[in-house]
Amino acid sequence: MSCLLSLTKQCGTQLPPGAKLKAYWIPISELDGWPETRAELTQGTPAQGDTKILDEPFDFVDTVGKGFWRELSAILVDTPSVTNNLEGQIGGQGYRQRYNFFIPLNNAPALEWLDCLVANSGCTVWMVPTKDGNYHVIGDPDNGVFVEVVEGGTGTSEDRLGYNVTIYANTGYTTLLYDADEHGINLTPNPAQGG
Amino acid sequence: MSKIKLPSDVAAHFELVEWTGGTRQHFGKYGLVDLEKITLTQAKKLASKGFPKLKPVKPAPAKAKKEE
Repeated sequence: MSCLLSLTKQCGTQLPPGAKLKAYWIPISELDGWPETRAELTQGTPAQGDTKILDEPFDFVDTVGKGFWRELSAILVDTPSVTNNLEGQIGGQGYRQRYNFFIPLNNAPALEWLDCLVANSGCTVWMVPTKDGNYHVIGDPDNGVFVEVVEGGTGTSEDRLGYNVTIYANTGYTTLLYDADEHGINLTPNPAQGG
Repeated sequence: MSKIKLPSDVAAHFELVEWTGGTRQHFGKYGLVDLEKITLTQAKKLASKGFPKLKPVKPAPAKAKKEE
């Protein structure tokens, strides 16, 4: 398939850089399938970019208390970013999806969360809202998100207190975008039967 | 079929359209929508912004008065 088309940018559109102060993650084991892209759902010829947009709501397992996106809202302003970097040698290159952020906490809940983050390395999918209005999905059920960097602590008198965290996924491709305006991000655990 | 319902005062004016998942969801530019706590004012604001999951309920046609 030839997909290298013309690429244009509209003048007069402001594109603020960076990610918002919130992110979402879910264990892969709580996902039931994977949304189709707008291109897969389109009858006829898809529009440019449709292969990168997940255009269905996520489906979840029906286990009580599971099946929802967790929120991470303890992120320091101006620190988060999502990157798609091409890595590897010529002939074997692929994109690495990365999300870097700083948690300005060093208390018991933060330390516990960091332990659990590493314990679940490779077992989650993340979604990160960016300031330009997109929702980048990092990882997929076959390529979970791994923890690459956690560094920090009390800091010294001139440092920040907290932890710099980088997670990444190696799907080989750039991040997919999720149409959260249309399909929503489910934040509700499955209720008890009859609940 | 989803068991999720709007509060009765909101349901008198709006119905849910293809709502999947739980009651509390984040909808991008529309923000957090919690169907257990949503007020009629919030529902009207969401609808005025074009929120796709809330559709105004058409008022039931008034019954014609029977002539004797």
